[in-house]
Amino acid sequence: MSKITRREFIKDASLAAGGLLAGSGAAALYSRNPVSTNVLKPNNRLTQTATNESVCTGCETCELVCSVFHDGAVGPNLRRIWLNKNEDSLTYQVLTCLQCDYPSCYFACPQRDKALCIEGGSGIRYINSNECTQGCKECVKACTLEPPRISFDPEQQIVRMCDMCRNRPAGPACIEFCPAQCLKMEER
Amino acid sequence: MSELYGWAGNILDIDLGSGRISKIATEKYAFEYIGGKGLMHCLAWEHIPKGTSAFSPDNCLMLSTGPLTGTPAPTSGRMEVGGVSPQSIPEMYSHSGIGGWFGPKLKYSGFDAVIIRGAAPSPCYVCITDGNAEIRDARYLWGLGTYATQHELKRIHGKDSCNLVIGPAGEKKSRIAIMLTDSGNAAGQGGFGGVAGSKNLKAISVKGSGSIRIARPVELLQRRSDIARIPAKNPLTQYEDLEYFGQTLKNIPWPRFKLSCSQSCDRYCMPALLNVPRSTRGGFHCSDFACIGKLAAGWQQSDDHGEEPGVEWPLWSHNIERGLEVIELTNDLGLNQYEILGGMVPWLVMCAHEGLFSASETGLIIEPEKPEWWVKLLNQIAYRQDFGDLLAEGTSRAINTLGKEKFGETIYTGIRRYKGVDRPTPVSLQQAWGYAAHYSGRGINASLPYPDWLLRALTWMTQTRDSNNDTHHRSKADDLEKFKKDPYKSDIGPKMAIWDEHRSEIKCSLTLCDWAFPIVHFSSAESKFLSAVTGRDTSEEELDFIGERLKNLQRAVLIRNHDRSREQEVNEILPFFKRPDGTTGSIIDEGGFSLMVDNYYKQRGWDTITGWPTRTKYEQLGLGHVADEMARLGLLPN
Repeated sequence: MSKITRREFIKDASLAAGGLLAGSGAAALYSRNPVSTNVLKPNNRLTQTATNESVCTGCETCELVCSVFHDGAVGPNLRRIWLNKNEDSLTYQVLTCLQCDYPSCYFACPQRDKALCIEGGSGIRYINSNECTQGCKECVKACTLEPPRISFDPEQQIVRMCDMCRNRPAGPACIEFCPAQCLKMEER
Repeated sequence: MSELYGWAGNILDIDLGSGRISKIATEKYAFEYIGGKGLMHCLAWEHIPKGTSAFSPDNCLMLSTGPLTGTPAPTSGRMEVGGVSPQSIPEMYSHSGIGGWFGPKLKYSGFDAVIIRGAAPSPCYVCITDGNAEIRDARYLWGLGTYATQHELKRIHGKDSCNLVIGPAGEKKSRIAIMLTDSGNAAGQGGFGGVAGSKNLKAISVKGSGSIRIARPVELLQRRSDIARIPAKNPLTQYEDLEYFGQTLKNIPWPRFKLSCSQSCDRYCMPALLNVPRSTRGGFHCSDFACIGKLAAGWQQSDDHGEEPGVEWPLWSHNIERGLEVIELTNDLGLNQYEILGGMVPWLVMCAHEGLFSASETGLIIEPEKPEWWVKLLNQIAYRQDFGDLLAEGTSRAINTLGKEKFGETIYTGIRRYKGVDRPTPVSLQQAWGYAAHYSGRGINASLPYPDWLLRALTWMTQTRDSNNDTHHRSKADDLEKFKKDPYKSDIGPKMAIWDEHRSEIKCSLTLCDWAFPIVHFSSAESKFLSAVTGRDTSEEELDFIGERLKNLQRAVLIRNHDRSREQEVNEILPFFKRPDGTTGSIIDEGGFSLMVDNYYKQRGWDTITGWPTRTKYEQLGLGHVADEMARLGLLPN
């Protein structure tokens, strides 16, 4: 089965399951039932202040402060947000998890709700690295975005993705420290 | 991952001649010499013997990062490049800072620094990946411009590789050749592109997936918050039309105007222009104007310049498209933009104005108004064609070869305007050590008045190159006022210069940007960043002490390898400052400057006759081993 077909399959299956639940009158806002796709939608997601990528100045401060906050270190394998850089056109695009309404990564995770979880209340999709121990990369493969917004760390055999700095009282570090203010929290 | 916080842990040592590749532990140097420039002083002391010429295989081409490189410390994406410089006159150990992302990538690949010695038998490049390095064939890259070379290396090693490369100018061993990475980050001054070319080294490609540990991450982020500028709150509405040098650019789809030139930059001061149509070649310009690059766009005084002496001469008028062409071509060919724009072309224009050049002699008709003329000139220099062969040696050497008397740099008398008064002033463009004038009251941008330029005279004096790359002076306003009351005799002038020199050593060792540090009202910022990253509490005073150690170690290299003395450096500095400055026509008082130098040496603990550090000074700074070697060579003052 090709990658695209697999993704489409998951997406279609998710929509079908959601429709089924809705049709049966299940208006649950939040469920941890592993077969349910009626997951809590995220309240917010990180986006750029403009879809035109040229607002970003390319400094990579977002990537650095993110990994320092989460891991106490810096390095490409630690990234949860990064830039697609075009050095010829001097344009930069910020790449990070978009907190999908129907998170295919979540459904693909063999340790769903342990390793890849959804936070009650906020709906934030996040990785619990203590439980992400198999190095299976199923979530990376399932990500419908290109490139996938989940990083695999071959050294520690775990994955990382943006968790909106859910444990940081001041909110996402990347937004706070972006010198160009090209990142924002978008309400869903 | 390195056990050290802040450092990658190893220095890569490559001999291109024998193919030997080995590693040196960084820990041996880390805490006493930090990294960057300081580490290079150490490596130069240990590995570059006296008598090493710039293009000799014995010369070491060094790349060096610091403990802050690649961290969120603001502007810390920098790196230092060094070795014996072919641009300096005479050839001397020197250095050049470079921004961009190469330094961080080098650390993520497991190395704090690289020493490259020997010369390869045929064109090669060095490929560094996650703790390993190999020397690869680069014959198919030889001849390519810097941009094409980077494209090819990214095709081979992936988009996430980062490449430091030379262009045709470096291959031809031009003394004004650069090493470039990304669109416009270069080790510009010093001619280190020529050093790489002499080693048959086309490029260094790095790719790393490792990480650097931060000892106190929460504290580091707090320190960044403490000093970071208030961000622009609405980046979408700031620049609807782009007004630049009196021209309005309306043909840019998105009027973005700013660019970071270094990882972790918090100020993005580089103006960038995108998608400006080209007239000389096909396609569009996408380029950034660095501080000197904007002069390519125009030199004549315009309303938005006010009275800024140094930009009012009729050298060439404003033309943004020409400026972009010059910037891109100097980068692509691998030529030193500052040297071309701050020294060489103004000199050519002045020579032409005075009728010194005839086309039959040089093959050059000086037509700086035409973008295509610049294309021809830059190609001639890069490929050493015709008159360009001489210009590839740099302006100072070209003048020396042609004859200072006839072609000297004060041949042209321009009109300097200051406070409403126009004053005919002989224009001098060459400052010292083979480098073009730089914000020292003369040459381009002559706006610095007396006695402020006296401090530049001091800092240029003890260097081997244009010192303003990392020592744009910063002083407390009170100190400056005290200095102005008695410039030549007061203690405060040398004291300010010494403080700036120590901070210059520090910022280039950590590594941080000269445009951002030191911060006069928050002078402990560097020590706080270092403490948070490494976990070793280092006070501002302790860091200044290390700065002094580094300055003295560099001094020892210059004395041992290049016969540096008071006589040599004072004589080098005086001629430029004996010429009238651009504001009031002031010149340096030779006797007064001698007193100032006495004072400076005394405050440094250097002998006032020779200019050499004493044994006591070396030992006080933990450089006893250096003192022993200098004693053995008879290079300690009596």
